[in-house]
Amino acid sequence: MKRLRIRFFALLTSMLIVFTGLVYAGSGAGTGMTGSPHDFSGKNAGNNQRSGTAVTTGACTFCHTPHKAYQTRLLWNHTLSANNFSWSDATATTGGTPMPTIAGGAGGWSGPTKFCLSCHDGSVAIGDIAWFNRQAWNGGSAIDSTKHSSGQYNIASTTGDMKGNHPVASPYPFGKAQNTYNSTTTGAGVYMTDFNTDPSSLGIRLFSDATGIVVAGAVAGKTGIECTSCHGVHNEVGLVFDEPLLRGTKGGNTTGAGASYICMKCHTR
Amino acid sequence: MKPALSRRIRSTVWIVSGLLLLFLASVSNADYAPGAGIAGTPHDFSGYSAGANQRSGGTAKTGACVFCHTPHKSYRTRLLWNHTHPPTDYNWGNYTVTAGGTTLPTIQSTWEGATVFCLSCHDGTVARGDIAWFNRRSWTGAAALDLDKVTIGHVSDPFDIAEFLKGMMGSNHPVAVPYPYLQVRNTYNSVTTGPRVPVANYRSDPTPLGIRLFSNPTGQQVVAGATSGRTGIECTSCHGAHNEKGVVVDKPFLRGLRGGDSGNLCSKCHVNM
Repeated sequence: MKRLRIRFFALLTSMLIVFTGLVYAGSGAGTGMTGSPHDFSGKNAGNNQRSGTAVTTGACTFCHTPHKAYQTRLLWNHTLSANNFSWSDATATTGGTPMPTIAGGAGGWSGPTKFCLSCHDGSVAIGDIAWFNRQAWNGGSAIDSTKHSSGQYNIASTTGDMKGNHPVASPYPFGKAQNTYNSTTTGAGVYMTDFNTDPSSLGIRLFSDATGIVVAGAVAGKTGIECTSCHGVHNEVGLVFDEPLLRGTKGGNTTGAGASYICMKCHTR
Repeated sequence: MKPALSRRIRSTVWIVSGLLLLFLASVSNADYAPGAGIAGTPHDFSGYSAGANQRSGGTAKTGACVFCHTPHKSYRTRLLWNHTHPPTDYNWGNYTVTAGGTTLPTIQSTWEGATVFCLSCHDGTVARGDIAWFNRRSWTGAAALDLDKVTIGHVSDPFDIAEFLKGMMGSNHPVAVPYPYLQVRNTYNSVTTGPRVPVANYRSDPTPLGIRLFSNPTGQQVVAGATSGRTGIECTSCHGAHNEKGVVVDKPFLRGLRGGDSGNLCSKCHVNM
């Protein structure tokens, strides 16, 4: 009987492991910035003003700075790409939504996408920043000269071609209706039934540009998506569930209430 | 009954129930209910092992969409297509025209309509799991995530559409061809409805019945929805490849019933026969 009990608990334990594996996709996902790929702490950045000892960067500094930022929006510290971003191999989706142009540079689009692409188009080094420890670190002085011009972290080409990427800075059919965002309107042929009316309850972030400037949250008729709709770039606790910094899992097939699979949080197939 | 025996029976019941649960979970892909969504259908490609997770080292598994679509590094922005395209133009071989005089088309690999994308698996030349990108790497050629091709047995394989010579669409209903939308001749994919086509035998607009029509404004461009004079059909006019809820009503992924009169797929377009 004792042996049977042991077998029973062994079976229970193995089942638990199997199901846990199905639900939880990546150790480290959703545990915060520290140790994540976006944790830029520990890079050498000159000496302390008074002590003379070596200073190392903090986690946030390759993207943000409290002073002397390129622009107040996001207190952006990373040198922006000079590119405007567009899709070279498509003018519209099958549903007739035009592929957007995302204006680059300091006066360009105010949504997160432009900021993400300041590293992820590979035209600017990841350590090319406006300010840290009393000095600028741009161009040839970049703290880290690595560029994402190829490989898994390269999204747009170094000339700003977004070919092969999901549309961003583009409208979401919030409320199963046509929306206008970044001067682009949901196409007349888009099947509204194929989209979740409001995926924000599943952890997806929506944005609006009702006033001409992008703000967080959906507004009827003026809602859109950015890179950060699907990615939690700070590996947010309780919001990121899988690599690479995903607000859902990259595996699975669930949709509807409680859906975990990232694609089907919006695409309700 | 002795208490020890009773406990043993209870334990056995628990174990058998657990095993049954695991078995049911493993066979859930074997069959599917039409119109119940993509999960569990033959087009649900979730659950394939795809290397190690970046940081955890655990095994990454594919999601339902990935054999066809990817959000980054796709072959084409159109449909964010992830599956490797064969470099093939499709035609109907020796059959060049329908009885109504509509030319059977050539479907070029640059065509934007859904048909080209469907045939990237269903002509049997490319493995199902031969895809551009998932989990930080490409899975093309011999590295495909699943090496099965839909060619085995050719005619006997229900999933092999453009069979025999690969690219030969003979014996298949024309696709990427005009539909006589509004019962007049339309032009689509450089083909115009033939002069002897009895347009009154086609439903003026089958879209309220769940059929999807497409339009071809110019060149190889395709957009969803009908446009007067520029309307055509694709594989997805009759098939809901995602087993769409409320749209697909029969197998295989059909937007109408295989049998019967009322709700029959064929009669959604072909009328007054």
